[in-house]
Amino acid sequence: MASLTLNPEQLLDLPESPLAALVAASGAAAILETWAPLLPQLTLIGPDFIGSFLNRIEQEKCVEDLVTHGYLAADSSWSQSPRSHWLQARLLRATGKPAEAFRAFEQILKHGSSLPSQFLLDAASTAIESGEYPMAAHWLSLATRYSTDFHLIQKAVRLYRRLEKSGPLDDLPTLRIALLLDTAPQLIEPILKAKGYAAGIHLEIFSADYNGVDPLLFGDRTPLLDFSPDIAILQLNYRQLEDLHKGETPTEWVSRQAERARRRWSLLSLERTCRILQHTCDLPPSPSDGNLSTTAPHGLSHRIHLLNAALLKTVPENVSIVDTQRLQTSDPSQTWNDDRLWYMARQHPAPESIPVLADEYIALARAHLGYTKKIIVLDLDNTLWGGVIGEDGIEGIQIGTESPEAEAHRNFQIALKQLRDRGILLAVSSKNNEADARLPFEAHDGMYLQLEDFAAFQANWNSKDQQLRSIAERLNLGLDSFVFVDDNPVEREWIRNQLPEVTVIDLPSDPSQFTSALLKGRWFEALAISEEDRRRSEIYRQQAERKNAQQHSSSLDEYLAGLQMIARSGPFDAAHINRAAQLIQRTNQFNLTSRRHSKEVLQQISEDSDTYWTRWFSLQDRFGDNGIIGLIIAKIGGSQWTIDTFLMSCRVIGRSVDSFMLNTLVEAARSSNATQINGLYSPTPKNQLVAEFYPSHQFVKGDSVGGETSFQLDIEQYMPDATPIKVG
Amino acid sequence: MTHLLRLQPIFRDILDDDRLNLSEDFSKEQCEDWDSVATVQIVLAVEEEFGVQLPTRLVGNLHSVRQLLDELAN
Repeated sequence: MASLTLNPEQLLDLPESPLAALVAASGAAAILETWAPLLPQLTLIGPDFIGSFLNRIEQEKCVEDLVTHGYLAADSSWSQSPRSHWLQARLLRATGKPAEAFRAFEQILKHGSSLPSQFLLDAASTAIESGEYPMAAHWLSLATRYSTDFHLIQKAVRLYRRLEKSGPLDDLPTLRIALLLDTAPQLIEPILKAKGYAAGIHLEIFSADYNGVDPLLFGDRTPLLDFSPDIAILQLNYRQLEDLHKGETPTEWVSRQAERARRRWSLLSLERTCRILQHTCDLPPSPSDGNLSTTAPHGLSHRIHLLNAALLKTVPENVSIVDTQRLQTSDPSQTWNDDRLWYMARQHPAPESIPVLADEYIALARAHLGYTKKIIVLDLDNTLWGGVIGEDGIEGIQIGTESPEAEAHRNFQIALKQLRDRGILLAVSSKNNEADARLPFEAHDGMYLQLEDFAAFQANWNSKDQQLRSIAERLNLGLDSFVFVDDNPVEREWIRNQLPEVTVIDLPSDPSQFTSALLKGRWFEALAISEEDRRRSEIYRQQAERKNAQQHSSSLDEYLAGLQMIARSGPFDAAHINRAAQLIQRTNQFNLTSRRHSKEVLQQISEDSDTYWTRWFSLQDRFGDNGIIGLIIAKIGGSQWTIDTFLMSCRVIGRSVDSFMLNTLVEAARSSNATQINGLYSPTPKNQLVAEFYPSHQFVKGDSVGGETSFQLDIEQYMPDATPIKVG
Repeated sequence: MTHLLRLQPIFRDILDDDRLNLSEDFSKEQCEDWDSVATVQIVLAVEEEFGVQLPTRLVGNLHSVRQLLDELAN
């Protein structure tokens, strides 16, 4: 091979791909003398370059020389930059030192959050080799969660398979998904599973064969019934639509197709209702009749648009619509259609689009499990507006419509306001003088968000982890329901390290991308919206006023009496079942059994009033209506009632609502001639608060089995708890 | 030869066999993990690695490494 003369100074200016080509043509001498010392300064190199470099080292057999020169030592110049450090870790691993490679990866990834996902995969693979399974699961999850690269996720799939045998995935909650696709499921299944793991869910997947959905639904249903899915996914695609029958009008065709989809929904809801994800139909990319496909009534695109409209017209409560056309256009790979893969493997959409599809399913699965985040904590300077209020002043900051930057920030505020209006709380965490921080809200007419849109406002010189803790305490929210948005990478890393349970958004530097960065992780996906959601911000603001009243009362009793509380209650009926399902998913702290019944299960429970007694509780006081804040489900077994669910929203803790609820339960049991109530406490990492609930309410401790403790209450001996709450 | 070297990690990865020494004669018959899903994955990975698109004629009938090498040589 002719030797190249490389000029180090020129190399520094080159992007990755020519560097990768040059290194591929380098001999041992160039590797040792030119490339090795230069590496820490080549900050733009990535997987391609490093792959070529490792390949050359192997071919030229010069690993030993690099070791001799000290490049693989922990304190070598290579460990100064994350990219050369990464190369070092790969070499350490290749030379049979996985433990040292693992430590190198740990150091690299402690700081970098904007490194290529391939770094994380290499790190995860090394971690598996070194037996560091929890760390491997963590890195693998980071690599997989945000990636839409089919090939990268294929690699993650294989690493997850190794990890499955090693334990760290065993404790994840399980969700059963039936993939009823009509197309071949084989390529989608593993990717969906990997995306599930990355989101902290263990998916059990049942797949219908190619063209096997209708035989399964309309024929022998046993396999599906045995599997008993939590979620069923129904696809529709332009490749497999039925043709127009002879003499059939397009309108008749549309109703026939829509009817077919609805029949599938009702068959899936016959024995045990599950959540159904129904695709809309995608559009053919290049129909032979061109524009007429959309314009003429017989055209395929025309009929597809009408079919989708017919599906959306009435959507049952247990059906969520997957908007295929949105996926088709938002897919970064832009390769939705691959005819070759269709002929070859009955794969549709194209493999490159599968990750986007899987992300959509997982977003809805997370919502189904109640993983929706509750609050967005926002920085102010250079986040909600451009510039620094304390330095640039009210005239200097960028917010409104007078400049592109101002408009970008304003549109970010509009998106936040929309989230707030459907129940996601907003809060401010800013290192600022409070007066400065409030000024734009009070005096700048370009601001879209107003002070009353925020459930909490922390502007002081405390550290941000303290500010977040204080918000969590004030609103009685767990930090794992927090999403943190800050333009400053130092603050983001601080929160990541101090409060790892908080979700930290990697805000790009350009404000026009803030909204998409915030929404990318799909943290706020919900299956339905309740009246409660729309009022949530207001409810939490009243909460702050109550805290204020409490500070001005001389005793707790006086404070509670002064609240003038009135409670209402009733069985779970159609008007209350949505909120009941939501509370069951959301309530973590005051929750004695933490049984996460799905809405579908609650529906069945509520209809079976011979076996179950159900009650929702709502609370009103002089500051406003708290809405529904408590639930009880009790199983009726002759003279013994057993508590299945007893929970209360954290925002009314300490106001004797729990006593009121228990009194109501005991009264109902007594009047149906029961003599005993059995209670169960199942500890979770978050419900320590109620560990002593039963003993402090006249229950007697019984057996403890597998961490759960049972308690008994003798109804005849029960003295109703004192409470200032009146029955409404 | 270099093509074979570049194919090896792909086959190792997809067939989940870190010790596989890929030869020109390696074919579907010698490996029970090489099923139709693996074929699709091999095709996609080869296309990614070599920056090519393999013709439908080949992918519908892919059963040996030699077929891939012949195609890549063109």
